[in-house]
Amino acid sequence: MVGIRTILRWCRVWLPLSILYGLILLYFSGIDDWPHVLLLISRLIAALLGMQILTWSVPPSDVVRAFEWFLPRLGVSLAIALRLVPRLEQSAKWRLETLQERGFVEEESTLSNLRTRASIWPGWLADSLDHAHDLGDAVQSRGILAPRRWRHGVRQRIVQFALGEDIREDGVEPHHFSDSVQLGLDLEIRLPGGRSIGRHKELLRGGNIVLLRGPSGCGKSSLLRLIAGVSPWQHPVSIHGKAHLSGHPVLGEVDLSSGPFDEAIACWIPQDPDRHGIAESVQREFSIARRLSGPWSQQEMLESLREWGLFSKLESKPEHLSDGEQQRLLLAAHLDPAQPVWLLDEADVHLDEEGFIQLGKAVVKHRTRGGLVIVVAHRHARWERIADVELSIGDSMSSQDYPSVWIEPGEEVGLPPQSSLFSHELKPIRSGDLILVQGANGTGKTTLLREWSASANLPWLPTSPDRRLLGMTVQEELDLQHPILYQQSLMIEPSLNEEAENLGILQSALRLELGLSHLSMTTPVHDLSTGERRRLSLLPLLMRNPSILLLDEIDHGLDDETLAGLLSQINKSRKKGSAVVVTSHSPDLTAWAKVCGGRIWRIERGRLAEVGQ
Amino acid sequence: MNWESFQAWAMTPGGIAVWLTLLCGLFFGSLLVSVDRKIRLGREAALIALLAAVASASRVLFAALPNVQPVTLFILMIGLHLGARRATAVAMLTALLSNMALGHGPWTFYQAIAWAAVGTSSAVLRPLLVNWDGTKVRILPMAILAFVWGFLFDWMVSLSALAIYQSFEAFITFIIAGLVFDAMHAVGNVLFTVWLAPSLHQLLWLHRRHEAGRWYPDLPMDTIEMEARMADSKAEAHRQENPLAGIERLDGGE
Repeated sequence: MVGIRTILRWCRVWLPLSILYGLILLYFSGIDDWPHVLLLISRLIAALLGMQILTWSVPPSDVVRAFEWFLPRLGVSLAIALRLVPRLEQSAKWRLETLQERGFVEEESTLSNLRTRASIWPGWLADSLDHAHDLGDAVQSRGILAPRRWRHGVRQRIVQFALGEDIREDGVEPHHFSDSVQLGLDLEIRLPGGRSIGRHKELLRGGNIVLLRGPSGCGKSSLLRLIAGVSPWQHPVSIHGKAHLSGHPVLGEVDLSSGPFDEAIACWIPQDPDRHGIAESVQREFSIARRLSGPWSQQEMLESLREWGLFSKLESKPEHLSDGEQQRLLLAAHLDPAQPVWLLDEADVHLDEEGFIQLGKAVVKHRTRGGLVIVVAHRHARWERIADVELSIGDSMSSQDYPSVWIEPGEEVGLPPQSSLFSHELKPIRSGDLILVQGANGTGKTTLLREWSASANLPWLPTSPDRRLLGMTVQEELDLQHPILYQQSLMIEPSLNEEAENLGILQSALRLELGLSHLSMTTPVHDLSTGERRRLSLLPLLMRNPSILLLDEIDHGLDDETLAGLLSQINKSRKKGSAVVVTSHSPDLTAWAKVCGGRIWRIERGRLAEVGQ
Repeated sequence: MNWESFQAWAMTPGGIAVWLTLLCGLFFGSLLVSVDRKIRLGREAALIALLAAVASASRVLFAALPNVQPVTLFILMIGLHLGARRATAVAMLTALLSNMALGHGPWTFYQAIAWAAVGTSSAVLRPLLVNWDGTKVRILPMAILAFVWGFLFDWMVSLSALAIYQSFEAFITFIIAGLVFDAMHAVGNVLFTVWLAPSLHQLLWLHRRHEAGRWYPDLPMDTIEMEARMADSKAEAHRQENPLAGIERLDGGE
């Protein structure tokens, strides 16, 4: 809404400029002509203000809708751009926050502050590009670029628009896939050098839930992306062989190698929900998704939102939701019953028990309809109960026990802050303590860590490692992990002082311990696997050796072996005297925390309490 | 109203403003339609969206500095790497998006068309702007082109002033009054070229590399060459000496 203040702010900029322009005009045309000049300037200001008010009065979402009617694909671009703008802003904030956390902005001149801030620009751009690719893949896999979807029932829509009615998507015929859903794979994915990163020869039939298992980097997600009809990897790869899907509701028989497709080939729910939501609001996300699969009503949408526990979030912006809530939104909106194949890539990792039960119900229902569900999950304890087929990819992993160690607590090191969101009467944390924080989606586990970090000046590691990575390449990232190392990297002829040398050795030793020493310095950070990025983002935290390590959903995206390595590193930090606070929904990690003598905190209804206290 | 009087009106400042704006509007619309039909891949739609979002955000971010903003350089780089048509798409969306915050008007058309011309110019002059194998941007020619476009772009956009003032004298005064701002735009473009062009070049190269990840039986030659270069540097990293080699651990571990 345009208010007086907005207009005054506008006048503060434009009025002096108009007066300046009037004075120049008077100088050229002479003082005698002042009534004409005054008229000209008044006309200018009136025209500018009129157009500005018009611009302010039309919400951006209406512009997107207008585009969707006439220029559907650019409409998608515009919608993505509107989704990206707040995310870009947020991403810049995370990077500045990370700089501050790593001690860059203290005791430096304005010039060097500016130079340091400018150095995060390439990493910020690369992360934004990665996010844009994710959004593009989401658009592609959901068939949103297909013109038929956007232009159906135009006449009916015009009538509804003219009569001021809700515009319904009645023009779309409901889709049904056939009874004989089959997915045949006989293919190999190769890197440019010819090295194979996945050989798949399977025949998967509808009416089954297939659990894909294998270590990180063995090609599980690539295979799912390939079936979803999107670019299989962030690296250039070549795919040799055949893949065939039968029973598709629109295309019938699909040869996957003849893509890219306008239509959605499968229902793909990827990792990282905050990077795959398209719309700028919960309601819009839902309406974009539902218009693809057939007629829908407002009531149906509301019921689905209620089932997934998102009813109260209807008017929220997706970026204001927690990771778990964003995952629920993606599942509620995009689990499309019309698609024969559902591909769930770590879709349950952010979900609490209630959310997982809801997902389990949906998956079992789809199996009963004759659909095929392929699940990738590293914490497979939850899925083993309902999976019909288990497939292992890559080297079979031995069942990994998480390394446990009992450490006698030392002196007091801190307490979580008391705030309006959480009240507690907890005992203080001691050095060597292990704390596991649990709670339903949206209760504020991440907020707790963020506020704690801000109030006690402690570093913390968010779920998404990209929020703590600053460089575009591994070399840039390593340089930006400490101000002294960064200073060294700026020197043309580095003269090593003792402090820089010690830091370099510490960094190299930690890289070796975290299994990162093999990484090439020129590799773009976003080419690394989730596990590698997570370990790389943990490195500066370990270098600082803080009194309390705050880690959000440490197990996200990691296979058992990688997670075991990380937990062993955490145990070492505890031995050195750091307390560790971890959030997780995983039952496996709960068991690990108990074996390690850890304390379990639970957030419920704004109250943070210790379980069993 | 007969044909002669219509012709006479068309040559007045008001008439020129009307037909110029109509013409630009039509051109703008047809460009949008052609760009819309061109988009086939989700990643393409998303890349256009990202570049438009970054360009718009940077334009709004630098709004406090009069006429200093990196959009012109962005569009130059996009034209250079992705061609004139994608640069046009980004130009259209940037004008639309950034003016949602800064204010729409007849200048929106002119800005979009001027930026489309900027992108086309760098696409045409590509051989002058990159080195022999296309791996690096030549900063000097790029800075000169950006400097020239600082003035040209503003003069093209100033044509929208005719629609508002409807007087040749006022329009000329407008151009003269804006010379200082045009110079600021040109100098700003040069500074942004020195600062941002290398990282933008790297970003767009990254996109082209990712774009190659499709169902190809054989990868394009340039992709294979680029990957071979990266593999070489990876092997070099393996050869680097382990910093802990030779240090004996006190706990007896390896």
